[in-house]
Amino acid sequence: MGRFVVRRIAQGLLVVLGVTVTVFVVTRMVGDPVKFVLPLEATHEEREARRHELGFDRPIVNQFGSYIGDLAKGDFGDSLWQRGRSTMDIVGDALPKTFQLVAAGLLLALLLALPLGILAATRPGRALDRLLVTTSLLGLSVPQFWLGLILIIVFGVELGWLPTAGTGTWKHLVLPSVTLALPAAGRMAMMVRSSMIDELNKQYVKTAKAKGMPSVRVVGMHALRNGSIPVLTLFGWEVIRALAGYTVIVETVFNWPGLGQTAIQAIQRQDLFLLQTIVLVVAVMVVVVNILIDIAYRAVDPRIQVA
Amino acid sequence: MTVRTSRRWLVVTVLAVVLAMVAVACGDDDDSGGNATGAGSSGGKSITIALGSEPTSLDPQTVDDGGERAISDNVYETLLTRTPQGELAPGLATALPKQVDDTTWEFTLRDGVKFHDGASFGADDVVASVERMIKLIKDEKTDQSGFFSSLTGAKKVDDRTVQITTDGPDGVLPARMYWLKIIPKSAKDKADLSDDPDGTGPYKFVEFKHGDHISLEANGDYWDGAPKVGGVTYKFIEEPGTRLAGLLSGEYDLITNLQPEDVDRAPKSAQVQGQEHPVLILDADDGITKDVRVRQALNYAVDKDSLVKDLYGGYAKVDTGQLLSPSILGYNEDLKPYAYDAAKAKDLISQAGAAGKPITIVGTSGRWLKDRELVEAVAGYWKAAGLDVKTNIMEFSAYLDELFNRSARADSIYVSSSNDILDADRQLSTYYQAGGVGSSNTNKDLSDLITQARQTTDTDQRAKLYNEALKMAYDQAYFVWLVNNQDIYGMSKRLTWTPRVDAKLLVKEMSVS
Repeated sequence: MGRFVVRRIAQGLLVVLGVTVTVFVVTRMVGDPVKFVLPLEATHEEREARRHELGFDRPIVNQFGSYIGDLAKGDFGDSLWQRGRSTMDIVGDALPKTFQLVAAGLLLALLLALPLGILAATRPGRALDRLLVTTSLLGLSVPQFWLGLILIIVFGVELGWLPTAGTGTWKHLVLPSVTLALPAAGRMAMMVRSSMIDELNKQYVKTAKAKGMPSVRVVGMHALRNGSIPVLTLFGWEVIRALAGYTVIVETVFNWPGLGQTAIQAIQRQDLFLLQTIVLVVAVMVVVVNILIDIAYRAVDPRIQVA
Repeated sequence: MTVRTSRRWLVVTVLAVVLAMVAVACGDDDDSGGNATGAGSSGGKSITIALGSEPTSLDPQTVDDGGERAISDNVYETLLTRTPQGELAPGLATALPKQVDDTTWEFTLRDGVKFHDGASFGADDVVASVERMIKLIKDEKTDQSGFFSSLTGAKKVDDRTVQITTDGPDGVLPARMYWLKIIPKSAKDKADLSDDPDGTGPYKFVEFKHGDHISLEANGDYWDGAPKVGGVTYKFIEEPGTRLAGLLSGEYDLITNLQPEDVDRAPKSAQVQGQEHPVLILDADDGITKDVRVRQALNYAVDKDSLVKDLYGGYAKVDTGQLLSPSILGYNEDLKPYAYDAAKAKDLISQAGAAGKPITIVGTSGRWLKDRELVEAVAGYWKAAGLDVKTNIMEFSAYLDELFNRSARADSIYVSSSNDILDADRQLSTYYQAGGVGSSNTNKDLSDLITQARQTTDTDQRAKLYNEALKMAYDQAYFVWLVNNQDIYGMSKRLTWTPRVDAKLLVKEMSVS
């Protein structure tokens, strides 16, 4: 296990380095942020001077050298968009908001998907199962921006129960996390259902039932444990997906100041420095979550060889 | 045995995750206190304003950003202000400046004004504000250099009198002093004032929670009397639909850039003839548009009235062929829009031998109100006039490259020109004067007129020169002038406010019931 973790961390560092270089080169090939920073009416001379001040007139290799040098000193660079703020401070503000949204959304998704999926699996083909399958399909096919807007109109504008946008109280969290949760719940409920049906048809389940074990115990302990491996894979994928930017739609619709919205703003304003830091942080998170999932596999099923 | 250990492991993990989530959720509850909009010090009710973008800084001298101005215009003041109709008026100065010589302007300062930290306002603060700006320009640390590059210094005559000097005769100086925010002398050497804004304005800075809100409270000691609205919370909502939803649900009292099609849904709305002028720049030096007849034909070919009605829902006026709004000094009353005359357009085009020839329009999408639709509509009209029109809608970054690259620019490029300081020089030197970033002609007479007007300090004489320059460009049809948009605001029922031509959101001019 220890050697495995060390190796995965080393691989992860390579991935992060590769991503950093790629983003650095690509953002600088796309164009020059100075034209966004200065007003449209600025003169050519003003633009040239600012380009020089920001170092964009230097060869890209030199620019990358200074960037890595600064990173080594823990300096992630200042944002072009939020003038004078360290890009790490901006990411530091946004990240907890995204964590909050992802945690609430995926917890809700899990709480919906597990019982519904298991219930459906215990009576495959019956009315309840068909209803759940249909609902799940609906949940996973609804476009998120549409769902978000409908929820805003119904619960924010018409009923006035919940705020339409922004953060602040637990009430602000409800609509965005429901919007994030429903499609994920749909996907996971389908997965729980199919993998539970597989397990429930296996010999050991029949044996357990035959020896008179209560079915709650059979389903909840034996079958669920084995059936949860594919679900765990999917859940991990949902977490990675959400952290790596899938929340961007929800964040935009609800004006949720998380990492996704910050990334959109950075792109719109061509804030290369902020974008670099965001990508770096996301890459690190994805690597870490992947390693955690591999470890979790082992915990659930010790037979899995992770070395 | 292994089964038992790993199960315990799983339980511990799940518990840890749940605890972490609870911790995050609880941490969030602390925010709610800061979010509440308590009544300000004057006891008046508080309001909430939804802006389209978060300020990039709260330093009033470094960025050129509408979000920043929306806040700073209430916290800081300037020597001169403008009336809601756009006329220059006294601010922290008691009157318009006196000219001492060609390059020196003298301002008399208001007595009894205090900064929010309690310090008295005087000549030293004005000197500090001018000198800090000059230093920021020299160090390339400000985006406002275009407004203030003519300033050379400021001198205290006595505590209530200041002289400001320029590098040459500068007719724009009074307008510049409507734009230069006055900071306290204690802030002169600070690189960034974003963290604790301190001005003389009717509202005091309370807090800035990045990504969430900014709040201000009424300044009870304001020299012009405490404002009626007790406090303001600003939210930053980029999506127009989300802004509207918040207005409808009663969360906001004022939203900016209400879409024309949403006006009927808003509880209340207000419009004012703004400074935004979408226009097509024609290349007067090269290609098919080199011929003045073609340029005129392209103007005659477009039915501007129909654009106003169908594209902007009536919330615009036809541009009178000059890119300037009537509220700006130098606006030429005598110019009339090029009338819609499809037959005349066709005629001129065939006279010029241009019938059936290709012409390209470059535009962008999603940056300005109906930018793409406008270009497509114009292309339709030009096609009808007998040209082979190609439209090229570019992503904004590529579009800017095209706009800024004078030599490679297409026959015609769309831009929406705005004028923040309400002075003709900015738009004319950018778009009319040869060498300007958005200029497409090499007319030396026109260029000389614009330079001369800039250097003329007599207001009437300046207006006359601009009138002449505008007429010259009109006859030459260097642009296809289209419309002048109205700024549309959505308001809650309880808010009373009349919008200003300079688009400033001055909360002291609002009241709430």
